[in-house]
Amino acid sequence: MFNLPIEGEELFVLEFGDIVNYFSLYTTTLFLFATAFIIIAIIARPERQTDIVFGTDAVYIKDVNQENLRFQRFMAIACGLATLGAVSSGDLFNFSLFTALIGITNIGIVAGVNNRYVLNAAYNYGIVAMVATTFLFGGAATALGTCGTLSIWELAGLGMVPLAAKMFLVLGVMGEGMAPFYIAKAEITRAPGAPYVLMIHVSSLLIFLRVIEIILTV
Amino acid sequence: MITLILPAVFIGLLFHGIHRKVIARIQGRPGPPIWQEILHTLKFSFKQTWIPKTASMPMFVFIVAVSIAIWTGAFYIVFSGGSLLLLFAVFMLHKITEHGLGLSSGSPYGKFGAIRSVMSAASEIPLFATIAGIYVVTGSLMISDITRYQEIHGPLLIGAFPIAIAMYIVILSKMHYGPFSIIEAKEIVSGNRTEHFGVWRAGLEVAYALKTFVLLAAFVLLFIGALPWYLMLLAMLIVLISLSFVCAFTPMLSPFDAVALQTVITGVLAVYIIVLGVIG
Amino acid sequence: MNKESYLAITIITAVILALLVYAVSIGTEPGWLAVIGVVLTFPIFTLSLFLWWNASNTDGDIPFTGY
Repeated sequence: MFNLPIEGEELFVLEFGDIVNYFSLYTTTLFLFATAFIIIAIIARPERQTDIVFGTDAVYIKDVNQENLRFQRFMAIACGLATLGAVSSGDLFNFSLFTALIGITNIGIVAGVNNRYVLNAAYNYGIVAMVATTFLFGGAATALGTCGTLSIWELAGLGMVPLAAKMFLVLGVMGEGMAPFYIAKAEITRAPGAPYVLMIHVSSLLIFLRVIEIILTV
Repeated sequence: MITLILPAVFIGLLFHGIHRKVIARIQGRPGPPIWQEILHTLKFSFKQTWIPKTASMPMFVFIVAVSIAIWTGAFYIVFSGGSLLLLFAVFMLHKITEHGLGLSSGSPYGKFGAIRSVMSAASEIPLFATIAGIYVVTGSLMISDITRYQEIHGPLLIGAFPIAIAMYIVILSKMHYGPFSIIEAKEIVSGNRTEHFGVWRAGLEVAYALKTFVLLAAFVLLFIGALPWYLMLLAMLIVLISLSFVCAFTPMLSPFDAVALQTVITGVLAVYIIVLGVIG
Repeated sequence: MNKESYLAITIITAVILALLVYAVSIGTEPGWLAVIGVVLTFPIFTLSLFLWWNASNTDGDIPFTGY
């Protein structure tokens, strides 16, 4: 696994039978980054968005109310935990599962926002994410069908996973978070409440970074 | 090599100054002196500073520290010959800090900058093409292996020219005043940095100076090879001046065009890499 | 926080940075540990140094929304 010239040194390995959860220098960096943003989401007050009343000099500030704040914070932390799972799991199925969970919690973060455009974007994104789940699990299933295992540790460097399965995984992750389906997500981030809304971006970029490591390794 | 961080910050700021100077001379203006950006950073660091009433307090400060931290890490990765994948991760994390900068303050202009930063996430995709291409050509993602490969087979700039173009566009999309720098366009004041002034802006200038230094050094190491330090600096300067020419001659694209252009470039490169992987 | 605490943080982080640089130069194992130390300390050092020597800190105003 770590003789491949891809991701640097091995730091920690946890075996569950043939499924080996591992931390390389690369995944640890991603893990620490996600952890830092979870801590920020726990301790920070949300930003209060300032806006100009159109056509006048007046300014108003959008407050996030207490009930909504609690829900957003919970969803942001759940999203962060799912990201931690996705960057540290050593198993294609668990990775897919955590990625799908990120998609769901991302919608959850903005679900309580009282803004038509944000909710519309969240709805559109939800449809894309749901379709992408098919590719994601399809990719993991194809890998299992052709290789007989889901463990990244076992598959590393063998080149047995077919190109189609890798492309399915990338497509799935793109649907869950990355460009070119990203424009709906740009609309979503118009929602007020910074550290929570930022978690949407953090999680989707981190799973993209992880999936690249996976497809280069297996 | 870790002691080189401070010189790298100053050289990066000097590069920013040279960048401004070259653009100004091309446009027929006298331009600021080349050490202007160093003075600029010092000036900001001495100024009175506050955190806006509407800001998300710890995050507003934390995101500046993260910016500096990730590029300090990237500096080490490049000069210790670490994993290119890790460098790629830093580019992506930089995208997150750009987004976070805009969102944390509660300013409408910051918000605009942040949303443009999310949209222009496509600018990171050519970098993935670079990494995949380099992996196909050299068979390794360790920067030390890549420089060794170039000692034997000659520079990748000649051997894999389209990949070098992709990396060049990635660097261009991170330069000030470039065609892709839609997040700091003047119609949205200072974009995502609008509310980060004083000490916070000085911190960001330090981070961005390191960023410019690391990007140029990575380009030289990946496509020309390991050089003695003075030739390395010279090569970085030449790359920088060529970037300044591009920035001076091109208008800033609209957000839609910027994203479309970068996606097209990635598509062309993806075809090139697939052809390279199948035939080569 | 007042200026004295920023100065204290600056000095403490400077000492830690110096120790880490020394640790890198004598080649402690594992090598990445000292580097992670530098990555975590350098931003704190920079920001606290700037916050120590800047003019002053005041309470914030609302963000700039145009003229």
